[in-house]
Order: sequence, then structure tokens, then C-alpha cells
Amino acid sequence: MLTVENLAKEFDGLTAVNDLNFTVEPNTISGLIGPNGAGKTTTFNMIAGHLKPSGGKIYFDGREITNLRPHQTFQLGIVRTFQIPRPFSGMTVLENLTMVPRNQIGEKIWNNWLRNNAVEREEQQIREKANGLLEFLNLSDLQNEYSGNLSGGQLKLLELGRALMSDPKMILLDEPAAGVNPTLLEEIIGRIRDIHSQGVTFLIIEHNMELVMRLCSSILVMAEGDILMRGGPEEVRSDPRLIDAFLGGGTSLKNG
Amino acid sequence: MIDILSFVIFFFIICSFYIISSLGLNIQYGFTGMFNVGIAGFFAVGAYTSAILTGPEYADTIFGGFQLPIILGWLCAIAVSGLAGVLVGLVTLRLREDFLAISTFGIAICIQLVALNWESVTRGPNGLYAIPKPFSRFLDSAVMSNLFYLIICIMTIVAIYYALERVVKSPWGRVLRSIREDEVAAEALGKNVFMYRLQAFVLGCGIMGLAGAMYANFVRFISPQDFLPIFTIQVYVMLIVGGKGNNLGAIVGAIVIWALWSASDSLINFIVAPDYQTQAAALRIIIVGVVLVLMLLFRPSGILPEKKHLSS
Repeated sequence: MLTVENLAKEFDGLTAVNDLNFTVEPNTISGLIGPNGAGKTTTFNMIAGHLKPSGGKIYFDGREITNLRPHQTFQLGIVRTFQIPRPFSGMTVLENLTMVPRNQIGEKIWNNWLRNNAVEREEQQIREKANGLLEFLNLSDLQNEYSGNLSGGQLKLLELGRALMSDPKMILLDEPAAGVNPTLLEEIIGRIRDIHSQGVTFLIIEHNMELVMRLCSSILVMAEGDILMRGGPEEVRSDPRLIDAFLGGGTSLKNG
Repeated sequence: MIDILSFVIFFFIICSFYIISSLGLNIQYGFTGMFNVGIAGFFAVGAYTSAILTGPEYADTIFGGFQLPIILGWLCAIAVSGLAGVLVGLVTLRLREDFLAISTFGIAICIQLVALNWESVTRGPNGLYAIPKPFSRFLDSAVMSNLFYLIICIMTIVAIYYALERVVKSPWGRVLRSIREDEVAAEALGKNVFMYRLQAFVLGCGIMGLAGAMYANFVRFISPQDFLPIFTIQVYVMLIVGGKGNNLGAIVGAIVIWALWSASDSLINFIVAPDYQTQAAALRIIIVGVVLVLMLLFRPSGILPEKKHLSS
């Protein structure tokens, strides 16, 4: 589904991602873990198109997407969420969802003057879909609240909802459990399972090992811009290299 | 009585040019968050376009004397200002907002300097005169022709208001607001941010150009002096005081600030000795500035704040 080949990113001489290779199989939930600074979010930014790689190639569904912009990768069915949620604060929760679907008739300015009925009809459908999702995410009561007033955990759900509005093939989640209380964590895990069962592929960056171990069938461990190891949850959990990577022995020895 | 009436008509006609400019700015700044500080430039492009296309032939210009119908002059003014918006937008809209502000400010100054120096087309500091005013051939009294002009202004404002209300409440307007709130997220959710910004910019510039054209065909004489940066600042104060992100607010703000501007003018003439009145005229800039500061301190979202967009 998603293949990354020899991917690299340098920032002014600092190597963030170095010769990265991995594949995400269709209809799986994969975890991308590793210590801070390992290059996980940089990798996400390159896949989604926010950053241009310094080298290497990215393929999605057999098509090269290496240099596409974010709105173009979105058109192909990739959608991402952000580590620190990025709601449209001055817009309602409902509007945060209804803005998402691609190629809305009313996104062409002249259609609002010339084909207003068609715009309104489509808007009705989009609203129904959004209402359905808000119910699924337990956010219905907040639909007319400014999204800037939501709690951290609710924002994580809102970001998930926005992603789902696009009927994506693949969702990239950047730390969906960060700052989320245990009750809400259960909810998020449950929702990801539900969405996955409808055939959506996930790639998840996460530090919360509970979420990773319970959800992911395949785990990629990144350190210092490269894949350190990969495997199933059991395999990874029992590997001493994982602890090494997280306790940061490698980096400090090399740089010190 | 007729004096007061003619003053009121004149007041609201001048006010209309500000209202229309403020509505144009609202699309750019209020809804999309683009800090265009070049309003005077696009207003000037519209004014000169209509003046050249509808005006008489001058002995000392190489280009002009087309004497087209005024409505055609206005439509061309929208098109030419919109085109100027495309050109300016293509080079500036990828910039962050503070850089966008600086570059649009500079471009407006350039436009004003071109008007000042391109004498073979604009007659430079001498300006273009005898620009036709609509229906003046049929209406010999000044009050009647101004009343007629005011009706045209009001009809134009109503049309622009409804056209804009339709689009800011549409999915298109929703995308603009999402860009204003967080352009990275808007792009991640599939919106071609640059194209939307360009569309909003061009629409706003076209509306500012129309305001300029209507100004030219009303005052009948334009010169580069009319298009100084103070005009841009006035329109910003109007929109911020009225309520950015609210089209009714843009209208109300323009009326309130223009009233304040005119009233402070009369007040200065009344209390300051004639010898000092030229210098004292600067006082009204201070008065309007103080109003802006007070507004930002005590009611930053304006007289009519942006409304929550609720689903029906």
C-alpha cells in the first residue's frame, strides 16, 4: 500500500531521516515508534507532502507520490492527523468536519451563485455524514461549539473525525494517545479498531505502548533517522535493542 | 433644508466608496486572513481604468478618449483591478502575512507613483478631468443627479452584499475561513490553499477597483493625490471597528468612521483659528487612531462581531 525507498531528509546539514526503507501492507495497522528525535514526524511530513525529501522515493498504491503537495496526497486517499491538534478554532465542530470532503460543488465560487440548489443538496448530504461521524465519536453534543473550546482528548477525536470525512484509504495518526485520559484512550482504541474493520489502513506514531501493543500487527522501530528493527508486538517487546533505543545509549555515545 | 439634504446625499455617496472597499477587504482580511495593505493601489487602478475608458480625449495624452458607456467602464475597472490582483497575488500570496503586508504596501506606492509619472496616460499630477458622471445629461440639478448617483451606489452595495453573503456562507467561504484559522491543516485536508487565497484576493481587488471607478465617475476629477496610503488605513479602521468577518459590520464600520472623520473635520474648522486649520487637519487622523486603539482594547471583534456559522 505504502512503500518508502531510501528516504532521506536533511535540515541544514542535520540528518533527520537517513536511508529509510519500509512497506505498509494494505488493511493493516502499523506502529511507528522510537525515541524523540528519531525522525518519525519528519517521515510523516514527507509522506503527506508537507516536506520535500532530500532523497529517496515514496509510493502509494503503486504510484509515486514523492514530490506531491499535501492536498494532492489527500486526493489519492492519504490523510494525516497532527501530533499537536490543529483545529480550525474559530469554526464549529460541525464545520471542522463539513469542510473536509473533496471536490464539493460549492467549493467552486461561481456554483454558489449559479447552481445554489445543487450546492444546498450536497451540503445536506455532507451534514448528515458529519452528524453520523460525530455520533460515532461521541461529539454530537458539541457540534455547534467552537472547536477551539474542546479539550485535548476531544481534539484528538475531532482530528480523527476530520480524517474520516474524506473516506481515506490510509490514515497517518501522529500520537493519537498523547495527553489523553485512560477512559478516552479506550474510546480512541475502540474507534480505530472500528475504522480499521471497514478496510482502512493505519500507520500510527505513538509513545503509548499500550495502544501500540494492542492495536498494531506490525511495528517499526525508528532511531536516528533509520529503521532499527521491525516485527510483531511480541517480537519487538522482547528485543533488547528496543530498550537501548529508548534509553538513548546510541545517540549520546555517537555524538559524545 | 435642501442644503442638509444635499449634504446627507453627498456624505453617503462618499461613504459608499468606503463601504464597497471595506466589503472587498473583508473577503481578503476578514475571511481569509490575508493582510493586504495595498487597497489604495487597487482602488486607483479601478479609478484610472474607468476614467480613461469613459473620459474625454485630452490634448496631452496618447491613450484615451474612448468615451465608452459608464457601465462598461466599471466592468472593465473590475476586470483590470482583478487582473492586477492576479499578478500581485501570484508573486505575493505565498508569503507569510507580515511579508504580504509589506509587499502589498510597496506595490500600492508603486501604482501611485506610476500614476504620478506616466504623464502620457494619466496626465501625472495634473490628473484626469471632465470624467463623465452618469445621467448628468438628463438631470440638470446637482442635487437630483447626486440623488440618482446615491441610488446607484445603494443598489451596487446591496448587490455586492448579497453576492458576498452567499459565498461566505458556502463551502467556498468555509474553506477560506479554515485557511485563516490554520492553513497547514487546511492543506492537509486536501485544500489547494494557494488557489483559494488567490481567488479571494482577486475577488477583493476587483471589488476595490469597482469602488475606485465609482469614485472617479462621481468626483469627475482624479489625480495621484487621491490614492495615498491613508486611504488604505481608513478602510482597515472601518473594517476592524465594524467587525471583520461580518459583511454588515464592514458596512456599519465604514459609515461610523466616515461620520467620525467628517465630524472631526467640521469640529476642527469650528474650534481652530483659520491660520492653523491646515495643521489641525492632522488631528482627525489622531482622533480616528484613538478610536481604533480604544476599539481594539475594549471590543476587539468590532461593533458587529463575526457570527458563529450554525447549521440550519
